[in-house]
Amino acid sequence: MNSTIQLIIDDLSTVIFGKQQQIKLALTCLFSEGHLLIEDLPGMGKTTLSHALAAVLGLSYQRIQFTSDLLPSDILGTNIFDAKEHSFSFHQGPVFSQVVLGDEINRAGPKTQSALLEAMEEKQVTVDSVKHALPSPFFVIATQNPVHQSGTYPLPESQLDRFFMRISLGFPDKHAEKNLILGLNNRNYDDLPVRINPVQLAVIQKEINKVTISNSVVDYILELVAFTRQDNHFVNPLSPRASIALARAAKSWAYIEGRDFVMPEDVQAVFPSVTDHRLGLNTGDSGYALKHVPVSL
Amino acid sequence: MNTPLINTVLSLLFIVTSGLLFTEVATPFLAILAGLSFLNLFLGKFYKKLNGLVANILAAVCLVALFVLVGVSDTVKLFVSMMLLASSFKLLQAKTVKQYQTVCLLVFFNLSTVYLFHQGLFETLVVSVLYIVNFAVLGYLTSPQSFKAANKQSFKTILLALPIAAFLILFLPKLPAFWQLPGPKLAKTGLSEQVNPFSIAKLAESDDLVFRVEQQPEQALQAPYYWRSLIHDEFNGSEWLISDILKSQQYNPIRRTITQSNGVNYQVIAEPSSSNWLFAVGFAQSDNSDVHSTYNGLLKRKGNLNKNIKYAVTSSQASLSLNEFEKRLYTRLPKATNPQTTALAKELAAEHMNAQGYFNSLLDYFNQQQFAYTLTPTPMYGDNTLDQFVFDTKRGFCGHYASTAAFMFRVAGYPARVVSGYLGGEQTKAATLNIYQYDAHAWVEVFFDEKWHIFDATAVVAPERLNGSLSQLGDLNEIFNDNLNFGLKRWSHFKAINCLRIHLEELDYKWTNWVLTFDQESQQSLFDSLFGNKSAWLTPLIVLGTLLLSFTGYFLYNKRPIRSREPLVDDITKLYLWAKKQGIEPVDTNTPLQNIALIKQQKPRTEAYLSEFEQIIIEVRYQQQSYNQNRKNRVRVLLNSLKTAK
Amino acid sequence: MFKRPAFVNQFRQSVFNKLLKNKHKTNEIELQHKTIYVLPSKLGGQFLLIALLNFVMGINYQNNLILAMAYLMVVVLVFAILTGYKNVRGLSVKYQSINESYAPKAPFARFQIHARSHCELIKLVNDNLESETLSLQNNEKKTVEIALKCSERGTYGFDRIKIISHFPFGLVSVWSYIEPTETVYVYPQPITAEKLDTQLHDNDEHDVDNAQVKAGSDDFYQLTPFVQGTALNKVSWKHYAKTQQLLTKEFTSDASQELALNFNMLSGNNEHRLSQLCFLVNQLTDQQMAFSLTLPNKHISKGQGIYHQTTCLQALAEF
Repeated sequence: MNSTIQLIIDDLSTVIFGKQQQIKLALTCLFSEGHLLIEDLPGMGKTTLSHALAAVLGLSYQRIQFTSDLLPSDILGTNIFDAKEHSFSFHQGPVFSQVVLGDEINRAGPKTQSALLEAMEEKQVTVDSVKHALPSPFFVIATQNPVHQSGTYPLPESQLDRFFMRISLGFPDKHAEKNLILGLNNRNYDDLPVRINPVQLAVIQKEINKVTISNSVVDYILELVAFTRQDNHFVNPLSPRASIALARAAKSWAYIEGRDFVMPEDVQAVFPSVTDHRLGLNTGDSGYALKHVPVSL
Repeated sequence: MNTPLINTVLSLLFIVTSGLLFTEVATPFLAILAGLSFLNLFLGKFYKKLNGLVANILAAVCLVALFVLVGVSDTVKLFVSMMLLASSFKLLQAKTVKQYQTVCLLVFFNLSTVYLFHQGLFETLVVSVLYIVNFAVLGYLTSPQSFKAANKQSFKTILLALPIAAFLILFLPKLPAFWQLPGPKLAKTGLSEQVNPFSIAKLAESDDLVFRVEQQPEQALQAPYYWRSLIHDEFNGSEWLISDILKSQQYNPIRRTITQSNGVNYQVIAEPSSSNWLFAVGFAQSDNSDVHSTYNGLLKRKGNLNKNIKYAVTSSQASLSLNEFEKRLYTRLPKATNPQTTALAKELAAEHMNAQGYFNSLLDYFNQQQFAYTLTPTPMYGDNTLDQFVFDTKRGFCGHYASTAAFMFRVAGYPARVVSGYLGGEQTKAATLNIYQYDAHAWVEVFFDEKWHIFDATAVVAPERLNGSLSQLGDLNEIFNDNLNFGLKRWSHFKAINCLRIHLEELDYKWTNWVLTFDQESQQSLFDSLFGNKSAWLTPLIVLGTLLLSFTGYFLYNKRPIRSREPLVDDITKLYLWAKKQGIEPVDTNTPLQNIALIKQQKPRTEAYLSEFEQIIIEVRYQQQSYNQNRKNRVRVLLNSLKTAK
Repeated sequence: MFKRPAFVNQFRQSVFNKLLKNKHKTNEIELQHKTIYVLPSKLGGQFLLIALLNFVMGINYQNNLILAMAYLMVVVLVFAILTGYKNVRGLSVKYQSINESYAPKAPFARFQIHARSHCELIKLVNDNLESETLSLQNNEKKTVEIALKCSERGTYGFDRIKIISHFPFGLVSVWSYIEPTETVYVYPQPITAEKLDTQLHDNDEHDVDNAQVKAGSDDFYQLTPFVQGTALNKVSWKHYAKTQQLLTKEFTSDASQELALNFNMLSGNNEHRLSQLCFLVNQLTDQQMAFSLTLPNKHISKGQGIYHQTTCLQALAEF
């Protein structure tokens, strides 16, 4: 495994105990230039993970706490009348940073959600018909509570696939939880050492593009995708965008694992995170397709 | 289903089948059949079908036509025509796939009936093509593929099936006919039982092959070859007939005077013919089970089997004596006919007291009196046709001379008879003669000195006729060609065409000799040469065994695991199969490496091998390195070592 | 047409069951040696008859060519059997799903056919119902639909479906069966509920919930025509005042509409009641409302969404 990446994982593991898999998935998402959605019950460490991620990557980040009264302009920014110059000038909202941490995104109303999702998709913001480009790289790491919790506006299905991945942390194991109680974890995630700069990140992303993906693995991805289109277990079958994302995620995962080629195992590792939210499945339902589609040899 | 196409193809099939029967079935009826097929072609183009009433009326009309035009005398022809008619009507009314399939099945039967009449190479070729097309139609009816692809598939299947069918023909014991069916009467002209040349104005000749002769080089026949077929012993004033006495004599016990050692032995392959008379030189006998040797040394077909027949003959110039009854039989003449010829004969007989002298004087007479050989004689009518010929026209062909000479011998009191058969033959290769229909000849046999002598006036009128075939006769060639119907033979003076003709001839000979005349006896001799004398129980065993073996082979071939085009996949499958035998069930939703891990866990001893196998999987399947020979060998070794490791 | 007496069919059925030994009772079957049955088709039988006629003719006329044709036909038939077997071998047929069907429409079952090697002219047959005929290339998958024979409301076991091919030349029948172990549900025919009063409303409908409170912010999703059974406090009275039209306000995530459907509250005979319930279940789901369903033999607690709908409809079919 790449030593830098190992260091990042180790650093993050001091913040979140016993969640190596989730940390790796989160990194996979960021290396694939995708936005990350972390879904779980309150108090599971969603916010902690998102903050720590932004910190180790050494990217500028802003945090937005979504509430039901948050307005689109609160995150995008707004034109303010400058009395001195007698003109309107644009004040950037918190979305203008390399990493945007959207906490409890589904507590905000649809309009506000849409504003953020649009920015994610287009990497730019339009205010009063003027376009403002967002910085690069641009990541959104959003957290949300499970849909069935009251007082939430679930993200529309049509927009959910703008998140490259959705992960959930799940309860920690006994050992990890004990350490949490004992306060052995690092609470100061802001103080985590910066292990990587934007230039290095770009290099990593380039290397990931070069990872070999063989025919047999592509076939496997196609089989999986085809399965979701044929089986009526799924409300929303996977789109070609999803298959591309799957391949890309598998490559990133292979890279994190220290390989320059993809194996079906990589696809299996990222499949639930990449597809569950696109399929409209609950997190608990993951892996249905994996359990039904034979791996092409 | 592309109905117009199927309609068109089936209609064409019927037209060609009718065409093949052109010479056999009454032409007007064939025209009706062809008309029906063309009607089909026409209707098919517009997706139309005949409606019920019209079809029924048409069917009734055609049925009447069938009985009128074909007649009921020849049941085989009637049956064949009826089948063709029925199939054509079925096609006219076919709408559904099922109905078209029925038409196809009927065609399979109709095509076979063609072989009742023709078994030549050309006809076989045409019928075979029709078979392939018919199979293609059958396949096309249920499949969405193109007609071309259907033809290809059909061709492939038949090509594959043909050797097995041939094998079956060769080795399945041949059964005797279950029951005697009426044989088809062929239209082919042959020799007739009456010889009456005088009313004929133009001798229609055909270049149909009549029979072939295979001689053994050391026992060659002496030219000229007089192939005897029929003996005419009764003269009724104008024509020579076979008397009832002679007909009954056929069944007299055969005088076994000749054996294979004192005669000349050769083989004759006779073409199908509607007449039963066969061909041989001199006094002949044959031991073939299909051939009946008669009292007079003639050979006759047994039964009415219309097929090629190959028989061995022993011929000799047997010396025999005639009893009084026979002498009377062969000198009988009607009273008071042809007075001039009678007078001439008596005059000549008076001059020459012994038979040989009279024989020679007759020859001289024909030679000196400006008699001429022609294929276009002047027709003669009335009572004294012989007189007209001898003293008036003096132009005629063999029939004229034979009739006249036999008459004159009988007037002089010498036993004589007209024999019809064939003269000469075309030498195709060293020891084979081809005898064609135009070689038909008639001559006289006259008895004196305890022996039948051949008297052939043609020999002095047109001596070239004796040696070689008529086709090679220089002077008469033009007339001969004029009288010939169209055929390659007509153009044989062109070198290339003649060469082609000879090659085709050769091919046809082989076809006839090996395929058509393969019968119970040839099969027995084949068995004997292959398995010796144990063939009785060995043959069916070997046949069944071979068949079983070939079908099992095909079955196993089909059962073999379907090979993947992807590298290494088959080897992984093999590994899984091995694991299954060991009681470890690989999970198909697991990746290969996960399954291998499973196996490793259960069979720790195999770990080293499996780890290497894993490495190769990664290299070949995921890193896309080539699956070279090196790796292939390694994998084979690994898979083998697994079995020993346990 | 000649109709078989019932006992013959019964006998046939029992013999079939004995012979097949539940080999085909599975949702996915791969056609292999043990599960493929081959016989000449009816056409093949007639073909054999013609071959026999040719044989007799060939023997009687001692005609080698006619005999050859007879043998050729038999050999082609044997080839057809082998080719037909090869054609379907390795084919796997997998049950996929049944479409939702409401009486009196019979449902369609969907099967996926996967050919490892080229496969011609395969089709599914369910007694007299046939699917379309398919040809598959190497390693191709196709989905095929076939109608089932159940059109009345209820639950059914699966029919034994025949997978058959007459390839090549239509001379042979090569077949196998698949009998999925799934249950077939035929839902009741939806009938508009005539009378649906507030009795249907559950008591806890009056529970205050935050979505209701937020509705005051005008952040509603759309207005839909009033449907009987909707809580009156969701009616847009403003509109009613202006246009005399009863419209319901709907909010984007309206978790407030909680209704209880109860079999006993409806009128009519059993089938009629079930039909009405079916209609309501569908409509409420369309409007993204949560509801519970109470049948005399079953209670399905409050829920919403497609899965909930399916559970309810299945319960209605089972009743």
